[in-house]
Amino acid sequence: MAGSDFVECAACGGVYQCVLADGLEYYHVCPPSRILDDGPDPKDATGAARLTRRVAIDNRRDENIAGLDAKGHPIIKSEGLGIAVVTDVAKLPQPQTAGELS
Amino acid sequence: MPGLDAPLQESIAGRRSLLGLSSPSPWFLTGEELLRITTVGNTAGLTLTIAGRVLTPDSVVHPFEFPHTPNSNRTTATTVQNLSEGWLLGIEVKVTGGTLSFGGVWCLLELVRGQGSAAKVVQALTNDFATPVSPLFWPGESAINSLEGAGNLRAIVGTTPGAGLEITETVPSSTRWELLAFLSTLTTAVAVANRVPMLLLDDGTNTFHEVSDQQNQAASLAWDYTFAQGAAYKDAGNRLLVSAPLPIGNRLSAGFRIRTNTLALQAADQWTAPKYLVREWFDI
Repeated sequence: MAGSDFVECAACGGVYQCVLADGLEYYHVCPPSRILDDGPDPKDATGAARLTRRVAIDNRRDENIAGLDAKGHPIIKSEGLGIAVVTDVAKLPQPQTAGELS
Repeated sequence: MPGLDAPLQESIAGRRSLLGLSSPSPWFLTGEELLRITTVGNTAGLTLTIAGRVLTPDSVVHPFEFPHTPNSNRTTATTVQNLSEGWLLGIEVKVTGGTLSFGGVWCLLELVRGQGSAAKVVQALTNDFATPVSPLFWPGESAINSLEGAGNLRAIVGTTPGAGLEITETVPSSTRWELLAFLSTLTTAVAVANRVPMLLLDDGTNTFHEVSDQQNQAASLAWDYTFAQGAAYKDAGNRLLVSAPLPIGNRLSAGFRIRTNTLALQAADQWTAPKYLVREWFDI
């Protein structure tokens, strides 16, 4: 796949390319919250339902440009917890296919 | 000096005032003016060539040509070129290196005095988008604001969110988008719950549009969700594809967000990277 290497955001786990296959730059922003699993729902006799809650993501990364430094290099709005190149192939986006019934 | 009328020849030879006399161009340069090109672009690897001509007081046409490299992150890039004394006859700006589609770079041509932050604009000449085939030229071209025109059509593959996270895509700085179409797949985990995804448009804080097909997606399913201008609320008979409309002619400024909000989303549910089509302009 063309474009830059896929990277993973340490704050939210999002995987993306900083430069897309068409050569244009992409600026990742972490979503505001994530769903946490608090275990089985005691009200569900089957045990298949889960208790969940939405919690805010701390140290969100925002790669949009806030301005330029003295040397003219772009400064992003928030580094967050940084990014790392994805080496686990399983984390790379798979070709999108039509939905499948299990 | 052949080719010039007598009053003008006499004027040039004697350096008399040119007021009231015809001249090759209304733009006489004293040698203190510089030509400044300012660009805004979203495409890497571009080279622009700026070419033009100046008629000097001794009736010699001096052509000039210089390169310029736009930035690819929608920040402005400038190049300044000294011009000789004389009349500015014409200028052309063309993309001579790299590949881009229309709307990928916008140019502003100005005459300035001084350098850097001390430069004072004495005359804006023109502004417009440039391509490898369709140049920006002066005189004769109508000025086109960076928010005008057909826009730059872009197909974007966004971030694959982590499990239990929603999709959030943000309009970049100095950019204005029109969202034309949006597609992603939600694969639900084994946890029992009826998920109901919505697509939201907000200004970074306040949501001003929500759309949902209001279909319950149960556990262990993978459904495609597509939103597009002109689309109808529709789910396929086997519930593999859900579609809903987007506001026609929507406009999203820098910092505005396109995001999902899924009722009863579970911690192990997974959205795919959204693929969306936008029209993009530079909001500077």
